[in-house]
Amino acid sequence: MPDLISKKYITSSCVINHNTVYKNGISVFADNSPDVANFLISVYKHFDINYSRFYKMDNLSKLGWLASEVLLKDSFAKDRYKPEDVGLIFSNANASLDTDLKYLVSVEDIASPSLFVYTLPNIVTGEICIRNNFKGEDAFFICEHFNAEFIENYVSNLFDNNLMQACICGWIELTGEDYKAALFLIEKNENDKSVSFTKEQLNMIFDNKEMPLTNSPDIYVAGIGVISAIGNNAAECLTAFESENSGIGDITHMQTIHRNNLPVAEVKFTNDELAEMTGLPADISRTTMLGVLAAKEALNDAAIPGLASLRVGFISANTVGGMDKSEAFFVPFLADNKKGKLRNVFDHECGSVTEAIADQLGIKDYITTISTACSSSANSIFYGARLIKNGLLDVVVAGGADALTKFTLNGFNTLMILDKDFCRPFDENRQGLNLGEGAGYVVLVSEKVAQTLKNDPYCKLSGYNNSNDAYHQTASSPDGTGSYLAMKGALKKANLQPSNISYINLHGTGTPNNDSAEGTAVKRLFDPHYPPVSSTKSFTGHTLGASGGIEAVFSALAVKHGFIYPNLRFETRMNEVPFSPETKFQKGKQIDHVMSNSFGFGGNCTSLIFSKI
Amino acid sequence: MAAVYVVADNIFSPLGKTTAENFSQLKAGGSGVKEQTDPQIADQRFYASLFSKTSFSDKSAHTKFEQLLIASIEEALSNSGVNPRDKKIVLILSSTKGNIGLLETNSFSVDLKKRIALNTSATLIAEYFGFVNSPIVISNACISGIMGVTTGMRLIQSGQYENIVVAGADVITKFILSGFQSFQAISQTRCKPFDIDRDGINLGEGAATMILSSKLNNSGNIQVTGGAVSNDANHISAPSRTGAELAHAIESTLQQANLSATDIDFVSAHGTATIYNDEMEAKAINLSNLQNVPSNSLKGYYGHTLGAAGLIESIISIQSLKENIIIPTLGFKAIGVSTPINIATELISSKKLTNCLKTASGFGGCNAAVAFRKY
Repeated sequence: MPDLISKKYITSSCVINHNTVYKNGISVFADNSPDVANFLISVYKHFDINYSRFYKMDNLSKLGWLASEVLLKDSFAKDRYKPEDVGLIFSNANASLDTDLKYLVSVEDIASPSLFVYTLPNIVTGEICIRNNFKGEDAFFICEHFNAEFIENYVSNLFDNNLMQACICGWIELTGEDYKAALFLIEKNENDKSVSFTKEQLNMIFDNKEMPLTNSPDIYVAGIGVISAIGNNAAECLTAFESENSGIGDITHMQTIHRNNLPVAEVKFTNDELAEMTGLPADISRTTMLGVLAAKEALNDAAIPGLASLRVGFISANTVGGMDKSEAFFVPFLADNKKGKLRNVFDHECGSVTEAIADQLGIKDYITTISTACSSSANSIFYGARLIKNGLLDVVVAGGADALTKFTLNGFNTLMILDKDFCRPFDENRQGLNLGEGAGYVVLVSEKVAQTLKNDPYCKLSGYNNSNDAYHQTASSPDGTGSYLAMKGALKKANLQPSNISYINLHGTGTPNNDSAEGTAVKRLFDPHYPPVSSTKSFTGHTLGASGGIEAVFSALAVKHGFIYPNLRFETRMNEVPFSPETKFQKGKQIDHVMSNSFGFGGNCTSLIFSKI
Repeated sequence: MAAVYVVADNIFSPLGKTTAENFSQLKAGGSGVKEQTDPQIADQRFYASLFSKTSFSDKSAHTKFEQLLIASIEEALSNSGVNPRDKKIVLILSSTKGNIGLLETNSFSVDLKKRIALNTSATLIAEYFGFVNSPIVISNACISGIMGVTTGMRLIQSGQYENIVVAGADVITKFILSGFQSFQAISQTRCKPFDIDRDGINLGEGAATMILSSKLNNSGNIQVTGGAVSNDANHISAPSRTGAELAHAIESTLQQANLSATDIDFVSAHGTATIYNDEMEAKAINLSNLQNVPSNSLKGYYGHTLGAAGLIESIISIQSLKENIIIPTLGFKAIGVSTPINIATELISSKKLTNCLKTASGFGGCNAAVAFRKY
């Protein structure tokens, strides 16, 4: 077997100094304790740790131990490793000098065994091993300054010789009031917060500089496909934007009591017409047929040479699955439980839709469904990118589809968040959203595949983040916590500043609650320099599980062609924010980075960033 | 993976200034451990292996700790054909407390803080010999010496260096003795490793140097074949209850050396002569299936030389391989561990020796093992 040297990643970091605790570069605790002893106890209490041994430790051990707690918390799957496969490689300049001095004072009176044991620097590694049952190699090196090159070489060697599978390494220095801890978790598997294990990254984190992700492989958007109320493909949708033609109108296809009462954004085909276009039987779910049309457009658009020899995935989102057919089953079944065509409930569940679309595309390598409410298809794209980044796939068709159903229309109606008129996202007088339907997919490819394309890719997917609002099942928090964290995290992943964003494709549903929370989050992150923003839901309605995919397509086009889309029907700026959405279609703009927001029920918030190549 | 040879070594101890002097003292049953009277170290008399006070110059820019290391490294280098000024050589220094004695006699200041840092000593010594690469300093309790050998082995195996000078030393001062006394860990007589009546350790002073190389010279065909470190995850000052973790380090070492327990000709144990260390070690040796292999502890000759111990005892083991002589355990009479092991009580020179294993354990729950082979 070849001796493979696997990559190593910094999967978590913790830096403690100047009365502040940083986790992965973000300050998670700070106070103004008068001295280090009090500060360490404050940290212990803040993180609500219950470990009585803590109070017996000397300050060096307390510091290192707390840093390891913060480092590992929510970031380490301990069960993945055997105890003897986890090790610790620490270093500092002054060994245990702080306790040496205290011990010497005790010698004048009665030598203290409990102080003496801490006059060895490696006791802190023992403390961390005891706490976590780590039984691998532990070592303590003394160097004048943090030596990232030595740490990288030494730890890499241990991994490459299979002597360790996970390592906590770094620097723990404490003498009197001078202290600094910088610990790094090194593993072979990357995660969405990880960076390559290099001396440059170690030094960046040690110095509390922002972590650039230069070593992360780029993900390219090679193809796009969309169907929505404003067009049956990308070109038709662009024409609608340019002519500012909304797709929202009276219900024409769906059988519902809300006809002539609630406006929706329907795809302008009957099921029979869709069946003819897709070659599928007419009794298949409308969700599937919409998905097939958009996903095929995307794959054809990408025109990837030698696709059959690549590892291809299909990650598709939806929220209703085959609900339209289940509704057709339900009417006769309700009247007589011996009636109803069982064929109609066969594709009820969300995954069934994905599989049916994948069959039409001929994708077999990796297929899965994501259903996280209105952020579903943004999460599909997020997940697809990670599968490529981790080297598991070469190509991923990612996005989502949803058809209008009675189920969703009635459900949103009972939540009282539907506007009886055409929606007005980000307007002070907005009344709610209009539901829409459609499908949108992007074809994500690795850098290697991107180099083989005949046409230039549209853009790169440079940033993504999913964060939870942790506030309410169906309402956003007043200060938009989840939205803020998602946007901020995506910027960090892309190694961008807010000022780098050229345009935000807002989630912008038009409900008072969403737009207020999202606007507040934008204000928190971007104030005072706001990029142009708009909600394309003023054209397409809210297509739920498809919206992140559809808007990813619009975002990719915006980056490639320099477009900014109008936000229809905007009149009055919202009171709580100092910015207004764009109201005119603009082209030829310098668009370097587009942020696309998708926020869903359950507090599930995702931001994607598409960047110029 | 590149072979790692031991091309030169030195032991600088109260028993002698060269490896040869030390080994002949051990063969003759000589011990450095005696009753000592030194009011600077303790009010009462105590047993330890110490240098005479006249051995070191007060006028030198180097402290006693550094003078010890310089003497040991100088002698080792003189026999090695290795040039410290080469680009592909580095100094590894192992010590637990280095210049801690300076804290006892000087008031604390910023300058003193810098002077007593182990890195300062290492830099001064590296400068003395003209090493161009920054030295590596290990302070990992009582396994520091073995860890120096293991680290050196890996740095050669990875191709980063061609030669490594591993040196270790510790000096016994009031700080260290009072600490072990506060633990009730000091024997009132010469220590008795693995013995039924053992009652604690003796401390000892010394320095030792081992020069590792990717190239074989003419000094005797010894290779470092494996080395590993583990942690008990049990207690910061008491050893494992089972010995499983030391056994794991032994197992990993044997695996790297591509050896099984039956290939080992003798074990140089840590054998500090505390109740708990020796008990744990005996369990580990049994878990590793080495209970019938002759084992010794050299603490009765040297006392516990802390950061130097692993190096001194490794070098004696290497000398044993070269001369086909296993040194007996001075102070041992009757087995006093619950899982018996084969303690060498007499000088054994009846068979050819090829492979040996050296182990150590220390505060913080650390364990280490290293294997040497004669070709």
